[in-house]
Amino acid sequence: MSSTNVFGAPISWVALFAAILGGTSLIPLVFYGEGGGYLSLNIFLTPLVGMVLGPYAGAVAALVGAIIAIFFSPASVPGHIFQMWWLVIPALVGGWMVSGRVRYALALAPFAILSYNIIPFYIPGPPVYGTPPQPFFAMSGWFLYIGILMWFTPLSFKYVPKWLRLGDSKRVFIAYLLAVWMCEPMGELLSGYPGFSVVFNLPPTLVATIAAFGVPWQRALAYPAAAIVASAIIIGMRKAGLRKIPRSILS
Amino acid sequence: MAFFEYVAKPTAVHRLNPVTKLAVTGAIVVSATLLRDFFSLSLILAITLGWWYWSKIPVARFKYLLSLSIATITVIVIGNAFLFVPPRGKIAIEIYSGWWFNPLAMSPQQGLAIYLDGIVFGLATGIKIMAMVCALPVLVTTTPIPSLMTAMSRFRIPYKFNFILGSALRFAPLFYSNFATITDAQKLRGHDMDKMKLLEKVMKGYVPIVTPLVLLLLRSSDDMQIAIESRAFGAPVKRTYVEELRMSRLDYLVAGFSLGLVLVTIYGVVTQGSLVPVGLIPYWAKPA
Repeated sequence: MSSTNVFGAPISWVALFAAILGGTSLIPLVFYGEGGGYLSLNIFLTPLVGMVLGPYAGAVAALVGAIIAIFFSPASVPGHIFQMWWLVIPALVGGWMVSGRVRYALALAPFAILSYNIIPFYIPGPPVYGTPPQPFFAMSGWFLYIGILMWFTPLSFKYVPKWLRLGDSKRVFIAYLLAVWMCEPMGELLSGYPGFSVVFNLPPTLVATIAAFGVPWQRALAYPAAAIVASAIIIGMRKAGLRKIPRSILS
Repeated sequence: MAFFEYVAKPTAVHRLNPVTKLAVTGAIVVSATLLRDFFSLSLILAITLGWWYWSKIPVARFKYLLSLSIATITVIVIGNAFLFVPPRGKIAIEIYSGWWFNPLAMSPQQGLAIYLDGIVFGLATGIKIMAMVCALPVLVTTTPIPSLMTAMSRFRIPYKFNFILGSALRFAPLFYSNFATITDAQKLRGHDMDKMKLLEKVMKGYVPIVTPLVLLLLRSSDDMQIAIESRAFGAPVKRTYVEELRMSRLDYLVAGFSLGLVLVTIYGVVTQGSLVPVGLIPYWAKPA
C-alpha cells in the first residue's frame, strides 16, 4: 500500500470527500419540525463516500467531515461529539455493502436497534430520565427498523450493489434510495438518537413521538432528494474516467 | 465565500501559539456541549465573543454563516416554545382553552399554550449553537493551516489524519467558490436555481451543479495527489516542521484559563448542573 493512500484510497480524495461532507452540512434538506436543528445533505451523502472510497477510508473521510460540520454548521449535528458517529457509521456500512462484506453490517444491525431502545433511558437510565412508555417506545422506530431489516434481504448483498454499478440512471437512483434507507438508520439508531437525547436531556415520550411521526415524512423527503444528487454523481464519476478504487462502486 | 481562510492581521490572537488557540476552541466546545442552562451558556457565549473581538475578525465575513445560524435558532425557539414538555409547567401565553389530542402525551389535553420553559430552553440551545459557531472561525482565520497541522501533531494525532483535516479545511472554501462559479455558468445557460420552486430545485436544480462540481474537485485533488507524491509524502523518515512552535507567557496564561474553564464547568455540571451558581439563577432559568 502506498503511503499516500488511506486504506487503499488516495489521501487527497479522502480529504476532498471530507470537505464535501463538511461543506454540504450547510445545505439544509429538512428542518426538524420539533426544533433543535435540521437534516443536512451531508447525512445522506455519507453512504456514497463509503461506496466510493471503501468502508474504512470512507469512515475516516466521514469523521473529518463530521468534525468540520460541527463547527461549520452545528445545527446539522445538534448532538455534537456524541452524534458525529451518525455520519461515520453510514459510510462504513455503505462501504461494506458494495465491497461484499455485508456480514459485518448484519452483525452491527441488532446493536443499532438495541442502542436506540436502551440508551440513555435504561442505561444509564433513571433518575435523570423517566421510563419510556412501552410498547410505544419500542415500536416508535418503525421506519428506521424497516431500513435495518432490509439488510437481511437479498437487496443488501445482491441487488443494490449490482444496480449501483450499472449505467442506467433509474436503477442507480433506486439502488441509492434503498442504500441510504439501509445505511442512514444504522448511524441514526446507534449514535443519532442516543447522542441527541444525552445532549438535550429529552424525555423518552418526546423522542418516541419524533421517531414515530416526525422521522418518516422527513426521510420520505430527504432520501429521494439525496438519491437524485448521489446517482448523478455516481454516473458522472464513472463517465469521467477517474481512477478506480478497488472494490468500490467505480471498480 | 472564503470565510474559513486565514486572514493576516497584527493582533495578539494571531501571534498566539496554535496549540493555545486549539485549547481555547476545545474549551469552548466542551463547555458548550456540557452545559444546558441559559445563564451558563450566555457566559460561554460572552467569552467566545470576547475571543472573537480580540482577534479583530470582521463579522461581515461570516454573514452567511451567522444568518443561517440565526434562522435555525429562530426555528428552534419557536418549535420549543410550543412543543417542549415543561417539567415545572410554567405557562407564558395561553392560546387555546379547548380539548385537543396531544401526540407528545398520546392523550387528549385541555388548552394549548406557549411555555416559558420552552422559550428559555430554545434560547439556551440557540446560545449553545452560537457559541460553537463563533469558536472555530477565530481558530482557522487567525492560524495558517500548516501551523495548525504542526500544533495538532503536538497532541500526537497521526500526521495523515492532520493532513486530511488540514487539506479538507483548505478544500472547503474551494468547494464554495467552485459552487458559485458553476451556478453562475449554469445561469448563463438558462439554468437559474433562484427562480425554481423548492421541489423543482431538489428534483432538477442541484444535479447540473453538483455533478460538475464534484468532478472538478476530484480533478483538483488528483493534481494534489501527484504533488504530494512527488514531494515524497509519507517517506519513512523523522518528520520535521518549517515552523517551530514556542509557548510565550501569554500562551500559558490563555491555555491555563481554557483548562480552568473546562475544569470549573465539569465541577459545576457535576455538583449543581450549571456553571453559574444556582443561587444566582432566577427561578424561570434554573437547569431542568
